[in-house]
Amino acid sequence: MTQPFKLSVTIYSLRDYVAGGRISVPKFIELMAELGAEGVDLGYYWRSEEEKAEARRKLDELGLELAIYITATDFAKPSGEERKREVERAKRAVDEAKRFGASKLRVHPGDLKPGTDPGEAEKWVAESLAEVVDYAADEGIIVAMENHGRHFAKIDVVERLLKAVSSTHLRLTFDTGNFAFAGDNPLEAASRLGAWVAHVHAKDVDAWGRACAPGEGVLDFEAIVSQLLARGFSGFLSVEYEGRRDQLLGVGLGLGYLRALRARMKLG
Amino acid sequence: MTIKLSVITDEVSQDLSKVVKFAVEHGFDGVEVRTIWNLRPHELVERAGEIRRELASAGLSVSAIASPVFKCSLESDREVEDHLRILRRCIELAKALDTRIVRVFTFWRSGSLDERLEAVLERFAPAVDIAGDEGVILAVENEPSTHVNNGRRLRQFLEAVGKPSVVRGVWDPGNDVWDPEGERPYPDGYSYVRGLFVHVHVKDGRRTGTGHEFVPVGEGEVGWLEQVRALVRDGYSGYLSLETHWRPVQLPRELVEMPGGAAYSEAGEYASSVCARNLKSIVARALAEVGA
Repeated sequence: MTQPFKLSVTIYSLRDYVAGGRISVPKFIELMAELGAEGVDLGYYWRSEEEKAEARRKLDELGLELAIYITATDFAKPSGEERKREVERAKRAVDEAKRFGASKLRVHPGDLKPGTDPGEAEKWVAESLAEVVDYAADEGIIVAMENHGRHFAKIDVVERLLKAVSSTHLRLTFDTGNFAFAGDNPLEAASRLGAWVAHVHAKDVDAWGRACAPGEGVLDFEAIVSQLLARGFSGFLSVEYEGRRDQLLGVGLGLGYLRALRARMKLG
Repeated sequence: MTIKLSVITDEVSQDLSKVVKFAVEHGFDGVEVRTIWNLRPHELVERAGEIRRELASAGLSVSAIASPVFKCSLESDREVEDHLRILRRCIELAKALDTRIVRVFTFWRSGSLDERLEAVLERFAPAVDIAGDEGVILAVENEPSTHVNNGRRLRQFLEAVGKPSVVRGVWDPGNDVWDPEGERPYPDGYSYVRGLFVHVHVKDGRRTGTGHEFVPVGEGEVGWLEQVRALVRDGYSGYLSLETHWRPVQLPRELVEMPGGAAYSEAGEYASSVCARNLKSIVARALAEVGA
């Protein structure tokens, strides 16, 4: 039976483990396979080209998918020169994603800087995205912009950007928690933006507004995911753990919850 | 609510700041107080404020007080009286550190529980009254050198006491590895104690030709992955408290039976780190598989 969605974990969830040098990227892949993930989001914390090759081999050996390649970008920098450098960095990430066999690249729009006019910043982001997306389209890569930061995580802003660029190669990485942090309702976001979603970051928010593992907080994942599925989403829900627990435990907790949710949704 | 993790203080160090650092680095939720600064729990009451402040500033809780209560002779009036005094002090410490769980034992083994049950119950009764009046839980541990030597005996004892609001269990599956009756920790021991305990100790070991030895968590005979899966499945939301016991060089038997102090803590930080990593992998896997 076809699963309604697949389970991934972004390597950012285990940042203390990987960036802290306790485990390598291939070891992260192994651990996630042990936890039953079906894919991983990779792109950060590489230590060498050899490590990339080993990670690719490890994915094949364990039968895990590269759910999405990730890079962090900021297209809201007021300096045109700096934005140009960000666009070039994003293009190199497209090349990297392609070399790695990914079909999608996650980028960030950027952060609204103090004193910057929001409308002007949105224009910069849209222009930069358009250039990156054109390049990615030629390479056969989908750019999946994440709702990220405060301003650029809001539903209205994300919708304006997606419509301004208007490309089949620009889609959305839908971060459940980031909508909530920006003061918007993730369920409304799913309803309005669902058709653009290529990838999901599953992140919950507790009663005090802090990030936690999916299922630990107050977000209604069943309703959110139902909305996304109804609008044609069929990709990965990726656990992005930013809570206070040990990161491996947080990931385990999130995966367990999403797996149980998937079983419930299949039955329903 | 899900499983929480803590570590017994002297399994890391006698220096509380090192224990706190360890717990924070490993993303643990709390610590279980046994010895700190070479002082036993009943000797720590005057320093409870200091402990409380240091833990609170790191966002850590106290999971339980690992008292030595009733690791003493059943036959000695004087020892039993001493231990009731120790219990009162440990309850004071528990209250000052915001935990309701005080771990206790059932006297040095002087025969099987079947033979000694009435005597153990009689000696244990005053402690039940004290705990009931003070609103704390006496958490009885299965410990092979005492009358409650395994999971089956823990159930037998708790049913005989019959006061589940005051007397519950500490399930220590690692202790079953040296159970004189040879109980298998999981699934056998667990099947007796399921639902009867409020706290779990985590250690591992294996039987040898001449006795037993402690090993890193996950490498022994407990079957920790299966055990934690069952805990998650059964909705256990208390603490898994790391009681490492294993050291790169085996500890002398007398230190294992009465743990505490600097000699006990030596090499504890390294050994506990190894075990904490293993435990977290096991818990993460159980959570991911079963779903909390």
